[in-house]
Amino acid sequence: MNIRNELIEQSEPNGNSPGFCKNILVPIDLSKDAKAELDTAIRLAEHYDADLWLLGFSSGPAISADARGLCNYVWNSWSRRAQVRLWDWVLQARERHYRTFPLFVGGHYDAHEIIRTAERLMADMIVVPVEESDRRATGFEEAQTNALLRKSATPVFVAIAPRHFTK
Amino acid sequence: MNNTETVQEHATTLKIRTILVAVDLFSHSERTVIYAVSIAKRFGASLKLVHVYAPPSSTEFGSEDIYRLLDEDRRGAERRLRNLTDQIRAIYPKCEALFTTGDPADQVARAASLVKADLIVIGRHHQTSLGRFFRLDQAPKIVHRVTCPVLVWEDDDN
Repeated sequence: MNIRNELIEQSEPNGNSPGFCKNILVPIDLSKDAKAELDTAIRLAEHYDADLWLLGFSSGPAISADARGLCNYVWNSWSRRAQVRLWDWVLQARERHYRTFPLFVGGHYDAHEIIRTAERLMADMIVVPVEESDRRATGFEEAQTNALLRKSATPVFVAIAPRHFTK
Repeated sequence: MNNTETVQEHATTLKIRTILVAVDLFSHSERTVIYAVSIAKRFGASLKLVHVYAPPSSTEFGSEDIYRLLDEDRRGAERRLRNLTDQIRAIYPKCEALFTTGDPADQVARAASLVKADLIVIGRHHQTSLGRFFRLDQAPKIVHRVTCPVLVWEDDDN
């Protein structure tokens, strides 16, 4: 590989190199605090002048699919509350980066869903959190983050703590 | 969760001054470094290429020849890292090499804290089912050991 040629090609503004990032996807578990990853994602989006997509996950109430008709009120209420929480994050993010958009997924935080969404969106980067200490993370969540790191074709930016960015 | 709290009001600019790039010196490492150089250029950051030489663990009772071969192997890796750094430095002068020995995830975490890295760039490969089964990818291990952001990207050609 000719490194010099590769670098010259990358420096040309063709929109495909890491110097040019158009879409940033941030999966958010709506039952948790998403400030750290959102702060990092906003900074990245501002730096790259990219669109920011917040992908909201929220575990639904324990109602089987067959019984949803009977429990319509509970189901709709849960769905509406989850979407309100997502919009709350979106509106907060818009105060700092206007081009922020919501995407709602009504299920568990799932690596495959994130990968699929990133592909459909043609995202240039996925920003995910990692717990500073594994004590707060359940095995399932950690497995999802690891699965994302192992399988995603889209670059994954693991936002650990915003304090490391120079103010 | 307190969802009503506002997102922290930090300055909106993102400044990354030092990028640590973990390389295993296989052919795809060059792609990882090129990717990192593009990011470094964008942020005006300096690059530190780190390679961790992990000696095989089954050499405790090895003969002198084995130790000699391992030493040659280690020196070869050091030379390849130097060559790669020189190639990059010709195009992007703010580039240095770090060579360490030990467990890759631990040593990368150590190097990151040593150079005060603002970002670690790791190339991901070993996409065969065998590689996945044996968890050869270091990325998830590194992510859980470091205290700065990590960017993991797929450096396979396919």
